[in-house]
Amino acid sequence: MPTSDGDLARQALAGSQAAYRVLVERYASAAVNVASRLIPDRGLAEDLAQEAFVRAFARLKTYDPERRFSAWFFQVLHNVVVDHLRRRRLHTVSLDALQAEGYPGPTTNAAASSPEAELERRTLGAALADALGRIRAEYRDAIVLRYQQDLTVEEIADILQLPEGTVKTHLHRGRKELAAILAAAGWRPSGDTCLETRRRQPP
Amino acid sequence: MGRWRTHTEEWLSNEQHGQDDAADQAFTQVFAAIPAVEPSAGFVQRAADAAWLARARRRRAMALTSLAASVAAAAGMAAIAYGVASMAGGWLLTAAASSMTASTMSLLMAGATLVEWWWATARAGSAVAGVVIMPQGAAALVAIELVAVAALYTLHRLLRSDVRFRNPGPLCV
Repeated sequence: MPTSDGDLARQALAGSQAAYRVLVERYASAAVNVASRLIPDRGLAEDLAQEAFVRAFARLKTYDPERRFSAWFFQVLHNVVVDHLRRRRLHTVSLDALQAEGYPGPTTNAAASSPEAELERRTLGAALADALGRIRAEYRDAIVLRYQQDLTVEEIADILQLPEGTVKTHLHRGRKELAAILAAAGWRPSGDTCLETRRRQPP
Repeated sequence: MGRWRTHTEEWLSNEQHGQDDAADQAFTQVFAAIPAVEPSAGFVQRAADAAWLARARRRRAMALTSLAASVAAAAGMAAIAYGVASMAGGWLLTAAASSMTASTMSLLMAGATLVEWWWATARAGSAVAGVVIMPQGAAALVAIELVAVAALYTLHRLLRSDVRFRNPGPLCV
């Protein structure tokens, strides 16, 4: 039976470097994913994710084992990102440039779906990722924590230090904004279909 | 129509009709279309090592800050004690000799209280170190203490000059 996050945290506090490494391994992917959604610069997002692990270890004494480790850790990560945004300007780096430097590109599960489905997923994924970067930051924070990390409204409220009602409002308005952006890009509820680019017929 | 298209249309339709719960469910499916981002090779080891190194640095900084705070507190107290003793001049020596002859136990108790006071100050210094563990904080604390010590020493020199002016000559015991 795998060791629980709470037990690993206790072992790490007692001086076990291996225990903390296991915790890092469990949440590395989630941390980088969340940071990447909040910060467009992929390399910087990874640096911030690493900083979050360093800060989380420094504050491990404050972790309450009754609480989910992921929720507590994402609070630390969110604070790291907010601190960074307050201190500096963002520098964007293209994904191609990053991949040329050795950062892995987005993962796909192409073996599990047909080429058409994979193409459809990629198109939707790209449109959604682009739309996510264009909505308000507070909506994006709530959306990423809810739909990417499957956190509850209560946990998100704790992380973002907001009332639960405000989190629900942010989720609702965030989805509305995303829906409006995707609709404008040609993704509509019914009728019209649009894959990749839509060729507009001349009037 | 592919499933991604289906999920998206379902979500957009629910949003349009104000069906918040259904839109929430449908959007969970849609969001899965965004590809996951994997950490670069070696990220886990780097992050774990960085956390451990930071812990070692914090412990060293706390030990140094505690030592600096204790030394500064002891130096401050010594300066105060030296200044008081010098201001009293020979009178204190005479009084101390008389007290020692007349009441040895009282003097020993006073000394024990002084030692307790000194240890309490050292503990306070350690507590301060627990709060101020940043190197800049430690440097600022030591600088303040050194300024205080310098100020007390200057005051002592001024008062000593004053006492010498008023004192006609050396004490004859």
